[in-house]
Parts: sequence; C-alpha cells; structure tokens
Amino acid sequence: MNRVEPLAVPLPSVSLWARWVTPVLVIARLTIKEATRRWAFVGGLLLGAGMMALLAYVFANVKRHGEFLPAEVQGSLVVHFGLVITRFFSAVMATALACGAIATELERGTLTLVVTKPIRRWQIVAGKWLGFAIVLTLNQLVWVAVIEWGAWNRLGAWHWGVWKAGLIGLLYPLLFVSLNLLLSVHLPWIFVALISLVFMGIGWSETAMRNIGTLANLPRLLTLSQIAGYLMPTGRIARWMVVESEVLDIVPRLSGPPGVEMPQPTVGDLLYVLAYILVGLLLACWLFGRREVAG
Amino acid sequence: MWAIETDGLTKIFRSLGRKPLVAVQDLNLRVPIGSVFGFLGPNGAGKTTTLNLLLGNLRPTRGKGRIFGYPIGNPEVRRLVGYLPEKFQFHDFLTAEEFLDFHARLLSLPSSVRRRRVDAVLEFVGLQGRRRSKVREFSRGMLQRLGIAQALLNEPKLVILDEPTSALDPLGRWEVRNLILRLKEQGVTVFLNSHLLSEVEMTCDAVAILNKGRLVFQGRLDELLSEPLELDIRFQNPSPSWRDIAAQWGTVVSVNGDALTVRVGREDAIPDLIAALVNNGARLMSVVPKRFSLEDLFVQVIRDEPR
Repeated sequence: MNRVEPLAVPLPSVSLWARWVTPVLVIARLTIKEATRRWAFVGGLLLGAGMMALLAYVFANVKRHGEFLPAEVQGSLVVHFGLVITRFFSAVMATALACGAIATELERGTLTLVVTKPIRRWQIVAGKWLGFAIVLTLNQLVWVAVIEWGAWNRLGAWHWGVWKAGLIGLLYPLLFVSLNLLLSVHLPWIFVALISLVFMGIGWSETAMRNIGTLANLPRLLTLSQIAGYLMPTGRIARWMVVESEVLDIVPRLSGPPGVEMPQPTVGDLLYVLAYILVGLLLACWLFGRREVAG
Repeated sequence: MWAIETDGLTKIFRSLGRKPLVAVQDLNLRVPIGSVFGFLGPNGAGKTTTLNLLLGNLRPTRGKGRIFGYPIGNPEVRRLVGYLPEKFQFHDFLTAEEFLDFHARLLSLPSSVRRRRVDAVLEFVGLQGRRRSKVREFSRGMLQRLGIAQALLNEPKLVILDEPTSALDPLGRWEVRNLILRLKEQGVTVFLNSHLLSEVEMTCDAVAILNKGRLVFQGRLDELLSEPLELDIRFQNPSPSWRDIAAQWGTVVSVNGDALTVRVGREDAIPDLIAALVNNGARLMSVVPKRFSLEDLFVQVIRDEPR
C-alpha cells in the first residue's frame, strides 16, 4: 500500500495564553528593562522630582507684603504647579522613550529578530505600549509622591486631591505614548519627536487661544482653540487635574486669568481622551501589521 | 512535501516617481526536507528579498509559497523556523543568557523547556562559559554564534541563515560551517543564503542560483559538479596520435607540449581512455582529474544570462 505523504508538518501545540498574551508581556518586560536603564528616564525622573522639591522650597519662602503666604495657599501652589510640571515632563519623557520604538529599532536591527518570531506585529506594539505605560506610571507615582510630600510639609496633612489629579494626569504620558508609537511605525525618531513637540504646542495653545479669544472677544480664535482641543486633547486632561486637585477653593485664580471662566470638565472629555489613546494605539497596531519590513 | 516551496513568487517594489523594481520574479523553488540548501546569487540578485518573503516580512506581489506545507506569512509556521539575519543588533545590555531567555519566551517555550534549551544551544555554539557576559562584550564571531543559538532555541526543522559568515575571520567561518554540518546530521533543513561559494560547496547538498530576481539554476550539487570532468594528462613520450585517441573518448580542450587536456562526459569513461592510450604505447607521467568548481558553474550561469 502506498504511504500517503502528509500535507504539512504538525505545528507545536501552544496554549491560547502563550499564543496571544505571552508575547505582549515579554515585549513589555523588555521595554521596561530597556527604558529604565536609559538616561532619558533616570534623568527625567530625578530632574522632575528635583524641580518639584525646589518648587515646595520656593513657595515656602515667598513673601507677599512682607509676610509669608498662608500655609494652605503655599500647599495649593505646590500642588498646582507641581502637577503642571508633571504634565510637561511626563509628555517629554513619553516622547523620549517612545519616539524611536519601531522604525528606528528596525533601522538599528534590534527588532529584526523579534519580527521573525511567531509573533503578531500588533503584539509588538501592544507590548511596547504596555511597557512604557508601566514605566511612566511608576514615574508618575514618584512625582506625585514628591508633590504630596511638598504639600504635606505646608499643610501638615495629606492632600488626597494630589493623588486623584495625579491619576488623571497619567493620561498625559499615555496619550503621548500612543501618538509616538503611531508616528514611529514609519518615521525615524527625530521626526517623531519633532511632530510630538508640535502636538504638545497645539495642546498647550488651546488654553492660550481660549483665554486670549475670550478677553479680546475674538470668536475665530475661540473656534481655533476648539479645533486644537480636538487635535490634541491635553487641555481637557489639564482641566480635570485642576478640578480634582482641590486647589480652586483656596486659590480660585489658578483656574485662569480674571474674566475667563475655565470650562468645567465633563465625562465626555475623559472619554474623548481615552478614545484618542485607544484609537492611536489601534492605528499603530494596524499600520505596523501592514508595514513591510526589509530585514 | 518540501521544506520550502514557492510557485511564481514575485515581489515588485513600487514607489512614487520611480520605475517599479522587480526584486524577485516568478520564483519556483523546491528545498528538500533535511538538506543543506545554498541560495546563491550576485549582490542585488534578490536573495534577501526572497528570505523576507518567506518569513512574512514582505508581502508577495503575486505567487505563493509554503513552508512545510503552510502558507508563508502565517506567524505560526515560524515555530518551525529558526532565522539569523545578515544585519542584526542585539539588545546589548542583556547577558547572553537573558538574551536567549527573551527569545525563548517569544517562542512561548514553557519555563522548564526554556531553561533546558538555553543551556543546550549555549553548549551547541560553545558559549556556555560566557552565559553571564553582557552581549556588548562579545566579539563579532561570538555575536554570530549567539545569533545562531537564538535561531536554534525552538529546535527548528528549518534554519534560515542569511550570510552567516560574511563578517567572520577564517576560524569563525570554520566554526559556523561545522555548526551547519552538525545541524544537517540532526536532520535539520538549512537554507543558506551566501555569496561565499567555497563555503556553499563545502556544506550544501543542493543549490539554487538567483540572478536579477530570476531563478537561473537549481539542482543537486554533486550532480552539478560531477559532469563534465576535465583530465590533465602528461606524457613521457608526447605524440600527435595521443590527441586522436583521446578525441574518441572526449573533447580535447588543449594540447600544450607534453600535456593534453581532455573533457570527458562521464566519469566511467576515464579508465577506458587511459587504457586506450597505454595500449597504444603512451607512457603516462600523470593523470589529474580537474572537476568544475561551484565558482566555475556560478560564473558560467551568470555569464550565460542575457544582460
């Protein structure tokens, strides 16, 4: 009797977890390892923490009409400006870590061996996103702890608003990670970093244009401000942070210049930011899946 | 079933404002299971593009391919494949052991298997003494061996090596050659992309030659190199009649003083030729068979191709 030749060699059996989840976790683990040994991370973490500590010291010594500011005002200022610094630094750090995550790594050759393993491209992107998210969360925790320490020094009590605002502030670096990963599928790190900075400017300009537009009664500037807010919704996160940090009751002027009312953040804002992050990530996964890699 | 099988595999790179570049055209490749297969071609012939198509890094413009019966581009088939690219860079902050562990995890090897395989491949490539050294401390040759080690972690049935010895010194090349031969002993199919012909000749069972994206030659190496065969015969008593006798058994390529070069079609014609010469009074000083090298074959095939 003739032996029938098999149509294919049997593949090793792999559990669903090992096939779909393990690769994401393995990439995330390497990303964490890689990120935490980079100067961009260590330097940013220390610089940010140092600046917040300095801020606490400065506000403790500011005098108005020859007198120190009341302790609760000092505490509120430490919290508010500390959170402003975390927003700026976390965005810069997310950009520094993620701008070269894909195209540049392919160019260098560090991803060449990874893409030829039994792994889906989206798992590489998702793993990197997860790794950066964990690193930046730890970073955020350290910074928020420093702010809390500064506030506690002034107030003599825990200021829980810092933690609530800090948690919302985590959306800031996550948004930049998604944006950077998306851009880095095709662009080298320098272009990704530059575009990321432009987007940072767009996000910042939303508030600036709204303030100027309101004060000078320029409706077109207000429209531009709205467009900027959709293009880069960092202003929405910032407003949530201001409200949740519980400083407005003590220093109402922190909501903006006199004559300009800060829009009250809504759940819709939060959902928009979450959708922005998710769509950025999914687009990055899809684009990398479509990208051809000449090893 | 073949280890690698392609039918009309074609890749055309198109970009705006440029003429389309046909990198691989109608490639019909058959790589037997268990063989060491040399994939040859001049620079820019499309060898690396073919590898990238096989590994799913590039999508074919048309045609199809299978690895052990599975369509190329299916990530799962890569569980049967080990690959060492020509250009790569490792995460050099890892130790050799950490590096291999990372790749073993990507292959979803269970922890007990992972440890055993990392030990085994480190021993296979002779790096067990450097397992805790950082990759950045490794020489080029050691990196190449480590690259081969990661390609073997999953006990692959097919190992694809892209120019594995191009940056190595003679000792490093010898080591890699030995590794390839040991893989062959274990029944692993090795697909060797190289332009070092001597190396391919020493290790491969079969070859394919690619030129300008087209397959111009494919076959078993021993068959290709056994025929035709040239003999350099030196006489103590040169005579014009030896040429006529030799011409009955083959083609006389040249006559140079006391030496004659004859090309015979078959190896078993040699004893008859020698006997005929001796029986007719020729006194032979030496008979040196001159086989075609792979280099001769390669040059001939590439030259015969229309430009």
